[in-house]
Amino acid sequence: MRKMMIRQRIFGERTSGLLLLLLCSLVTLPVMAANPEQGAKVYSKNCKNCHGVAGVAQLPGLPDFSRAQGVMKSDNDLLQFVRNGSGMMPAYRGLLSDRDILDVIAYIRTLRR
Amino acid sequence: MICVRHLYCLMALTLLLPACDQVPPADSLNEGQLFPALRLSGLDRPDTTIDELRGRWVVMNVWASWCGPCREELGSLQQLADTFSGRELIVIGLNVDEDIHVAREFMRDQSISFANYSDPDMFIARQLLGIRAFPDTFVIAPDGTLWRSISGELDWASERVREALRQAIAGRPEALTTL
Repeated sequence: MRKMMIRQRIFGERTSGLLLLLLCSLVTLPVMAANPEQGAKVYSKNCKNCHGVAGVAQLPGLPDFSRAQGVMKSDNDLLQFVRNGSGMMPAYRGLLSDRDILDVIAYIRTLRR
Repeated sequence: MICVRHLYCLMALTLLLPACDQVPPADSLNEGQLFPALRLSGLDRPDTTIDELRGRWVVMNVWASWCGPCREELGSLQQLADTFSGRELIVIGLNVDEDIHVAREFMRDQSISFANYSDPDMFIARQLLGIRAFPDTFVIAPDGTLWRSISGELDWASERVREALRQAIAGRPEALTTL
């Protein structure tokens, strides 16, 4: 009887644990996916002044996102580029979260016409 | 039950983690307003406050060693600092590297000798100055008014910039609008 209770208790804890892990995954996964709609908001606030409303640059020498210029790189490469800046492009590390930057990257990938 | 409690805690922490970097930054400073009375922690010299620098023009550059355009810009800021005597205009830096030793090493390598201060948790940069990108440079009048806030790299050693600053020192700060 006592062994049975111990088994039930262990089984119960394992089941609860698995359920909690499953719940964590369900809650966390959608948050981690890049969200172009959110990226559009971040873009509008931080990038639009130089890169233009629809990704058509306002300054000479900048890529035209509507023609997919500058975005033929991996998300990670673009993430590092935005984080650390380069040339005319200022750095956003510590000011925008990686998630915000990945959302922006997802957004600018939608600007190709 | 202890394990289950731990899992509950773990789950709560997991849910909270993404929110850790979500502290909203302050609004950007507006040109014409009084620059905040910052307390600056010395990177290569004693601590100071912005108020102690009053009475002369201050060019304050916010930079990091990991920031490409900041690295490009620092040399021209050093040249600017060498051009003016500290009595009429002073160039200072606010470094946001997490590791101050990295910043000091970088300054040594690049022969940066103008005064630099440290903001390793970006509290000043984010919460007090509302900076949106690095580098960012503030030009502050002798009375503490913010005259220009310039986001991104600029060649501070160019004759155009130096002339605008000379004009400002001579009492014609409107010249700074050309920067």
